[in-house]
Amino acid sequence: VALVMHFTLTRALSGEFAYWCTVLLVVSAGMMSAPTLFSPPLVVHLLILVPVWLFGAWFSLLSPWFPSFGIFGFFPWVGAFLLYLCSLIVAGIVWDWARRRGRA
Amino acid sequence: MWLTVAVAWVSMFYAIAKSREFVVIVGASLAQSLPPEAEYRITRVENLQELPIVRTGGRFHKAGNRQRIEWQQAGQRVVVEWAVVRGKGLLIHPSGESILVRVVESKRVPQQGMTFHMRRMIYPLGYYLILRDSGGETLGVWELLWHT
Repeated sequence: VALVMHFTLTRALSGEFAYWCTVLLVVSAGMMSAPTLFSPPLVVHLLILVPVWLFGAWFSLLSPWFPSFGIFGFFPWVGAFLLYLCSLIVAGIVWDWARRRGRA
Repeated sequence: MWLTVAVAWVSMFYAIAKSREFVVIVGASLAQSLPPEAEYRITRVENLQELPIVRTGGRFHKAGNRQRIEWQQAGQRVVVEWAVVRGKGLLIHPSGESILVRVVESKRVPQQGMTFHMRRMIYPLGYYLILRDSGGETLGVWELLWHT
């Protein structure tokens, strides 16, 4: 996200492309958070996730300044959070299923 | 692993610091690319020497299908007035309400005959006004907030 922001601010990326990159990154963050959260808990895992959550919260607070459309229009303030949460749940279910299958 | 932690925290601080600027650029870009919700024809522009590049306090007035925004600049009253051509006018009422106006992107100063395309923000009191010429080329993006 930081790189996408940097290249958007330097106008190397268009705003619209950057938006869809952000959506993709939110989904990726949700998917990658699942194994980080559900594997044997380590402090270092939380130290990786906390900045992701802090940035997510800040970004959600700023999201009302986007134009109203689609999922972000229907779920003002929490669009990015819902997307992250859905990805996390789906990835968690898949990860748990794969782990159980590996044991069996 | 600790390198990942360090990168995550440094990236977070950078991203948080740049978020406002990022949201402004992305918001304006999306507003331009989305279909407009309403169309306004500019009917009057007075004393507009410099564009308000920071949020500037002003007033919103309406009468019939005519709406106008006014603000003070260098001791003069700047007026930008338009007529609603298609869709709804800005839902700011009653007339005379306080607003904040800012130009987010600009290639040209608005002139009579140009068009504003309106797109609402998720923020219920905010609007994007996309300035376009008769050929549909985007000449600027304005942000207008009902400052209640």
